[in-house]
Amino acid sequence: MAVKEKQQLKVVGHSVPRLDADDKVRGKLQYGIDYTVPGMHVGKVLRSPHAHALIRNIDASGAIALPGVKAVVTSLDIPVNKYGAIRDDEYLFAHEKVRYAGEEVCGVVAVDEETAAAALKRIHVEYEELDYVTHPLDALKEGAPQIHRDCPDNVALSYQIARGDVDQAFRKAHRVVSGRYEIPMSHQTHLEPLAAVVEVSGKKLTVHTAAQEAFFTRREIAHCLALEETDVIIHVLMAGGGFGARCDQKLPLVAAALAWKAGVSVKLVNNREDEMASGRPLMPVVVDLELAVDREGRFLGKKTRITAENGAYTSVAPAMLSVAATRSDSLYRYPALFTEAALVYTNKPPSSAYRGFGNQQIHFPMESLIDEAATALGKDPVELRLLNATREGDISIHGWEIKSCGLTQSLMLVRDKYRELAQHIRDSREVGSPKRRGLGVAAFIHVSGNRTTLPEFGGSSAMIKFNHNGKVQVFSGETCVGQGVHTVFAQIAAEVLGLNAADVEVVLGNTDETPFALGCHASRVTTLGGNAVLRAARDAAEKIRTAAAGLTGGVPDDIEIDGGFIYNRTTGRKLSFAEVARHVVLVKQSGIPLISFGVYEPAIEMPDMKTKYGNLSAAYPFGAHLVEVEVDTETGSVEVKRVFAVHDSGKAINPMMIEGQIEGGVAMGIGFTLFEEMIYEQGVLKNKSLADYKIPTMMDIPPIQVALVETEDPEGPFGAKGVGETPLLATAPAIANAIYHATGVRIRKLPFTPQHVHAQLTRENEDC
Amino acid sequence: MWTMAEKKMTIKITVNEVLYQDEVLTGMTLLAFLREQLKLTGTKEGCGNGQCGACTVIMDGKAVNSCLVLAVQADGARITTIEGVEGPDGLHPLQQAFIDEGAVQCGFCTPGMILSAKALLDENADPDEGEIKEALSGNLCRCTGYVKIIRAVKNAARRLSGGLDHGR
Repeated sequence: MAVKEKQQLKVVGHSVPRLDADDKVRGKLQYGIDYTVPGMHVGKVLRSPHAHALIRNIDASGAIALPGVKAVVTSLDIPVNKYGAIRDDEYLFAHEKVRYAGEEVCGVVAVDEETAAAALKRIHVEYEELDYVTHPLDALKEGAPQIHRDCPDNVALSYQIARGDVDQAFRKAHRVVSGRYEIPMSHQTHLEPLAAVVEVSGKKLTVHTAAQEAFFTRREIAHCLALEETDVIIHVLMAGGGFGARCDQKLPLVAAALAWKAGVSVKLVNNREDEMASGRPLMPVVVDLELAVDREGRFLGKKTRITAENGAYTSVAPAMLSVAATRSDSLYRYPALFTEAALVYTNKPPSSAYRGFGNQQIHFPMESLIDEAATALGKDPVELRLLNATREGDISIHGWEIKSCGLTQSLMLVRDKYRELAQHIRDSREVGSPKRRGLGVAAFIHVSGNRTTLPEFGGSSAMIKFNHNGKVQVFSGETCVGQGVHTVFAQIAAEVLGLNAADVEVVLGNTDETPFALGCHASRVTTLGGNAVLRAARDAAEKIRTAAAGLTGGVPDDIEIDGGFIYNRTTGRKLSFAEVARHVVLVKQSGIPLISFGVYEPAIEMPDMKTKYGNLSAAYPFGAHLVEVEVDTETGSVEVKRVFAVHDSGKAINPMMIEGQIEGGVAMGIGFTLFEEMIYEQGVLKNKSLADYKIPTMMDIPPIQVALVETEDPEGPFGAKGVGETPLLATAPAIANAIYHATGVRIRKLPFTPQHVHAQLTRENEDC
Repeated sequence: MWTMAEKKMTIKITVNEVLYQDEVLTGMTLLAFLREQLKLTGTKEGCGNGQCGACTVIMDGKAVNSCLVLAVQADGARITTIEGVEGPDGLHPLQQAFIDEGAVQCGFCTPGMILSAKALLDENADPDEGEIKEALSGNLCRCTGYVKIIRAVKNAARRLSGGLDHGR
């Protein structure tokens, strides 16, 4: 998709206020937790209190006997209880044993909340507790409890990737730096808990829920309940945040099973504790890295070992491991590398999509280690990155085609800011004060969608319908998880059709009404979905011109479209869209609306399963962040004082919205880096409430300055690339690098809580 | 033997200028009363124990977490929920400012944020950034990073004091 000629863009590129904001500020928008249908019953789930245990018996007789209880559902009631996003090793309801505390054991359907709660209390489950493991390295030890019968060593999968001659690279190296980096489990903590209302109507189920991947959720429900996919309708609601938690979400599947078994409509909502303990959290990793550099600082080769935690079942962690094992390799020009990756079962919730999808798990180690290389060589960390940076036109070590790349520009902007602030840092040092300030930099690369989701199809499609009154509707199967997809799609269509964004209605993700789509993940919706909308809009414009030429005389090329009108340059006639549409729909097509389609299938490939080589994304966003921190060396407290976030996401379709994404992502990154960790004791999550699992509040956020480097990507709509996941890729390493700058201490394990930082600072002092 | 949840009481409560007289279970929170009995679902539940602020309403002039208030405690009180913020002529300046400044993403925290901000501005017409942050520090947001929310509150403060006039 070539970037349009440099005409003045009237809608795209402008900070159009979000089209759904009005309903939200009035409190009118219905989220899953608000949704009701008449005759709705309440569903509740009984969850395992144990990390690992055999289920000896489930006695639900007391619950079934309770007046008002419509059904009790266990694994025995589910036609195909075994399922999985990538590998069928998970169970809708626990089968024979439970593998993590919080796992679904059975469910009840009752007339109201109180009865459902009382029913749960009357279900008695006999468990026989087993040994458990809550760290992947423990799961790999000799004698560790076996979590799955068909996986004796608890290694769900493992592989190696080799490029070039890495041994030679290390032999030739002037310096080799290495380190072990650790990232624990953390939680997306979207504000609205997962919720679903499932209606039963004959043989059809309608699931009202916020889903990031509506068609994928539909497929899983149909699989488990042995239904035709088209007999399951997903009606996608606005999400109160997702950040990946609504990708492979289990709750709608459980809700559907309850409704289907009970034969009545059911509403199922997680409470906050269930949300935290029984969700799909971030994939923890232990990463061992080695980097070989020459005298000038050129990267000669690297060796990586990633031990990733799968959790009790396989959600989408294999895909995330792929990301961790490859994505940062295309940020710089590496001649050689060797990577070992292993995904290990533990008795914790299944690791799953968390904004970044495995990419921050490798950026934290890599961007930290690169700074360590800079220190070892006595080189400036930004200069070292500039020396090795990927450039436009490169084909990376994994075969990625870099058609646009603002990395060098981003680094240069960061370098300028660094120089500007360096004196301020020096000036900030007070004699006798325990506080130290430092600056840290990190760069990043991401994708705009990627091919590995579904082998047959890696693009998007859209339909545009002109109704007989001239009103335009855009239909797309992509979903919005809060980032503003309706607005972006409306802007794209409006630009082509000469309308205001507010005149375009966008219908998203209803599996009965919209085309099949892969959904909201991998920062793909603007680039791929947007391109489909753009093509559909161009097709619509063509059809309007043809119809208008028919009506006003002349040829389609004579017709101009603007402001909801068509103008015939040659004959001088002017008609409204409504007049054109009415004629076409009623007179010429006997009622069939004017429909156009747009399909975007990017020229990407499914990487080779074994070698992982292949250009898997339409467009690659880049960027760099600079962070200023203040470390209190007496308490270990780290405060982020300032963030300068430079992003190359191609053309900014809506600058205000991109800024909002970046600011929000930086805030999430600060939480991820400084205080978020799911703490397990005796196999059970201890910090289940928001009092104990703290996410950033308004008090924790420093001034965030955003700079956009708008490269012209040839693929993206108007040149746009993805942005959703990029803002928190650089945060952890930039903060780690800033702490090093401030204190001379390198911390390699997240989160940087005061206790942890203080312990590292003290240990370093003792070592001296 | 009775449990608290089983006992009922009649309360009189004014919500968004409308007086209701209703029977409630003594264990029912104000949040549940608003959402389930009055069907005012604009006020959200995010955590159920006073941590997230999504359930914020204004009760007798003060911003409160309605999940921590029992409906019976609100007997005789005046409550403003998000549904009561807009005026007969249209959106409240805070609501308009949130839209204009891009302070709304998923929107789930928005009602609570607006109520906390309204309680602040009703008491302090010209808060500085520190006062805004403190007043809204009990409202969590995972989408926006708070930057544009702070800007929206400042924008609304200016509008309310007659400073800014465009955009209405």
